Amino acid sequence: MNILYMLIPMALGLGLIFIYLFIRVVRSGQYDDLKTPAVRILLDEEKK
Amino acid sequence: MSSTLISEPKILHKCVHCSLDFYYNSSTCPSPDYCCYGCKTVYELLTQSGLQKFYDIKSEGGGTCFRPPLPALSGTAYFKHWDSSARSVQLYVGGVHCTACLWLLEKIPQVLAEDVISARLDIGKSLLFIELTPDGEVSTVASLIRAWGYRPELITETRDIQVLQKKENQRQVLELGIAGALAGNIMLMSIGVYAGASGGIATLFDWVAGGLSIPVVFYSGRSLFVNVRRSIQQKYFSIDTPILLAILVAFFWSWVNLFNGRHEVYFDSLTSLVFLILASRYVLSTLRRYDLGLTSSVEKEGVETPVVVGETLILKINQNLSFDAILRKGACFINQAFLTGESAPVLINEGESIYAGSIVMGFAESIQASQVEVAAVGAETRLAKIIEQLKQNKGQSSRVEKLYDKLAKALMLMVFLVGSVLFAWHGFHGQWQEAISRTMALFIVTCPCALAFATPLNISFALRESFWRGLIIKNPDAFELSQKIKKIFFDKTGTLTNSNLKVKSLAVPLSEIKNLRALVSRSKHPVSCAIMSDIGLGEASLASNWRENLGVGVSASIAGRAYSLQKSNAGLDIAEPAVNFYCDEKNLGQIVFSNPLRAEAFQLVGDLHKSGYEVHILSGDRNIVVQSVAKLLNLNSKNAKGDLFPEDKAKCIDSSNSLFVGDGINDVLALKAATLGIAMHGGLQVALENSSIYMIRPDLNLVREYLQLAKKVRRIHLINFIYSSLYNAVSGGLAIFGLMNPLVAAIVMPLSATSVFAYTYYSYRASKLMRGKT
Repeated sequence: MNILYMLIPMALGLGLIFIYLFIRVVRSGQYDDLKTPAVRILLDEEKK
Repeated sequence: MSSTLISEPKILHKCVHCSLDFYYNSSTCPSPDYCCYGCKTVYELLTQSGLQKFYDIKSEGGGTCFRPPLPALSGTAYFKHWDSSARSVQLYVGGVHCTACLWLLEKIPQVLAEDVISARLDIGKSLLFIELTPDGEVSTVASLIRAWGYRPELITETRDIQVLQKKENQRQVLELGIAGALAGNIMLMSIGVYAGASGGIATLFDWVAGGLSIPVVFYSGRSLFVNVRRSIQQKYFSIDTPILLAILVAFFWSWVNLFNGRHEVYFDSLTSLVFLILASRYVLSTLRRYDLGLTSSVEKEGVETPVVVGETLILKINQNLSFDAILRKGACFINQAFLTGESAPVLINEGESIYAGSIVMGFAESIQASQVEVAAVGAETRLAKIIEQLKQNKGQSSRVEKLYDKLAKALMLMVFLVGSVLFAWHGFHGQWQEAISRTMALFIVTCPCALAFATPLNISFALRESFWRGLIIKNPDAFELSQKIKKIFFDKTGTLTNSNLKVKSLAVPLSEIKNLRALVSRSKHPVSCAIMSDIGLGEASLASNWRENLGVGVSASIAGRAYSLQKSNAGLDIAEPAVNFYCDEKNLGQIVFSNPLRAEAFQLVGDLHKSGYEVHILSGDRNIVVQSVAKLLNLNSKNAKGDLFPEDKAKCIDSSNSLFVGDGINDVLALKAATLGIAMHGGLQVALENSSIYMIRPDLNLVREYLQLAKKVRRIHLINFIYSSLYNAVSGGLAIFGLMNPLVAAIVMPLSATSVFAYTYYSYRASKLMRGKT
C-alpha cells in the first residue's frame, strides 16, 4: 500500500493543474457566452 | 355582377427576403418576389455585397427570422456623441434571431474592410463586439447594420456595469467549478475509507479531504455567507441560514474529530452539498438571464441612439419611426396600429405627436415628405416605456412562487426547531456524537432546495415556452388563474375575424375597372388595399388631381370626368362596410366588404366546447352579423351578443371565471373585467395595460396552447410539491430516529432535488421536441 504515498500527491497534483487551467480558461472569457459558439460551429468556413 | 368575374385568382407568394407568405398587391409590393420595398432593398444590398449565402443558411433551417426589416433612416448621422478614439465598441443589435443573422453580422469585416477588423456576436444577449481600424467609423458600421434591417444601439455608459456583470458571472463559474473539482477529489479519498482503508492510510485520506474542503467552504461558499449576513442585517429568515449552519457545524466537528484521531469526518457530504447548491443556483441564474431573450437591451439607461432630441428630420412614405416626434410641417397619415390597434391611417396635423413604432402611410396634401422634430429617443419613447414595463413584470415573482417560498421557509424553520430539540435532548443525555450526527442528517436531508428551486424553474420554463409559442405572459399568476376559467368570451371583429378587410361583392361594370384601379392603386388605406387585391393588377387609366380625404374617400379626374370612391352611408364602422363608386355624381356601383372568419376559429371553438368551456361571442357589430357568425361556429345563439358598447361587453363578463380574448381599443374594458384577458396582436399599449397575456402573432390557436400550458404548469407544481413533502416527511423521520447517518443523507438529499429538477426540465423538453416535429 506504500504506493499510495506517491499516488495521492500525483493525483492531487493533476487535480491542481486542471483547476489552474480551469481558472485561466474562465478568466480568458470562454464561459462568458455559452450560446453563440454552439451556433457558430454550424456555419461552414468559406473556401478562399 | 359578382366579384369572381373580374378578380384574378389569388396566389400566395413567398418573399425572397423575409420568407413570409403574402398576397401580391401592387401598391405595397415592388414585385411578386418581395412582400415590401424594405425587403427588396435589403435583398439587393446583400446580393450586391456577395452575401447571398445568408438565404442559404436560412433555408437550411438555421433561420427563424420572420420580420421584414426596418427601412433605414436616411440622412441621419449616427452616434454623434461617440468618443471616436475608442477602437472597440459594443453594439446592441435588435432583431437578431437566428444562425443566419449570426453569419451575416460576423461578415461585417468582409464588407467594410476599411473600417472593421473583427465583429463577434453574442446571440443570447444580442451584443455585437466590434474592433475598428484606426480610421474606422462606427457610424458606417451602424448604417450598414441598419440597412440590413437590424436596429443597432451603441452601448457606452453601461460599460462598467457590463464589466462588473461579466466578472460576477466568471466568479460564479469559478466557485462552482472549484467546488466541483475539490468535492470530487474528496469523494475519492472518502471512498477509500468506506472501502475499508484503515490505520495510517485512512488518517492520511481524512487529512487530505479536510485540507481540500477548506477552499470549498470559504471560497466557493462565499455566496452563502453573503446571503446569511444580509439576512441577519435586514432581519429576515433566509433558506441559506440553516444550510450554512449545518455546513459549518459539520466542518468544525469534522476537524475536531480529525485532531482527536477519530474517523467521524463529513468533508465529503458537506462539500458535495456546497457543490450541488451552487450548481442548481447557476442553472437557475443562467435560465433567468436568457428569459425571453430580452436581456440587457436597448431600453436600459445610458444607451446612445442614432437620432438626437431636437433634431429635425424628413419623413418619407413607408418609414417606420424609431423615436417619438412632433410634426412640424406637412400633415401626414400614419398607421399607429402598434399603439392603438386601429389599422386605419390616422391624420396627424402640424404640432401633433407621432410615436415610435408608427409607419408613415401617406401625406395629406400633394407633398412627398413631412418634417418632424425629434421629441424623445431610446428609453424615453412611449414604446420603450411600454416595453420596459413589460420587462419589469418579467422579474416579478408570481403568487405561487411566493407561496411555495413561504412554505419552504416555514418547513426550514420547523426543521430548525426540531433539530435544536433533537440536539438538546441527545446532548442532555450526554450522547454528543449521536446528537451531532442525527441533527446534521436531519438538516441535510430536509433541505428544501427541491421546492425552493423547482417552483421558479417551472415558471421560468413556462414563460420561455409561451414566448416561443408566441405569447407574452405579463402576469405569472396567469398559469394558476386559468383553473378558474369556465367561460371564454371572444370579441368578433379582429379576433374571430381577420382585421384586414376583404371584398365581398364588387358590383362595378367591367369597363370601369381600369378607372377604379387608377383611383385605389395610389392609396394605402385598408379599403383601397382590399379593392386592389381583389381586382388585381392590370391596366389603369391615367388619373390627374388624385386626392385622398381620410374618412371620405378618394377622388381623381380621369379623361375629363370626375371619378370618386365614397364611403357608403350604411356606415364604415358596422360589420359590412361599403363604398360607392361615382362618376360625375352618378353611382356606378357598390363595393361591399366583409371580415372573414379566421381559418383556425372553427377548430378552436369546437375544441374548447369539447373541453367543457362555455364559448361566447361579444361584439359591437350588428346582431344579425354576430348571429350568423355564431351559426357558422356552431354556437348557441344565446351565447352570441351583438350591438354591444364597450361598457356592455364588460358587463356581460363574469369576473370570477372568465377569459376574454380581444384585440385592443374597444375591448379594453372587457379585457380588464375578465379574470384573464388575452389581447391579440395589435394595440400593444392598451393590451398591456389591461390584459395578462399578449399574443405576438394573431393566431387563435394560441388560446388553446395557453390553456394547455397553464394546465401543465399547475400539474408540475403539484407533483413537485407532493413529491418533496412526502420525501421530506419520510427521510426527516428516518433522520430523527437515527436510521440515517449524515453521509446517506448527503447522498439522498440531492436525489430529491435532482429528481424534481429533472422532472420539470424533461416535462418542458418533451414538448419542445414535439414541437420540432410538427
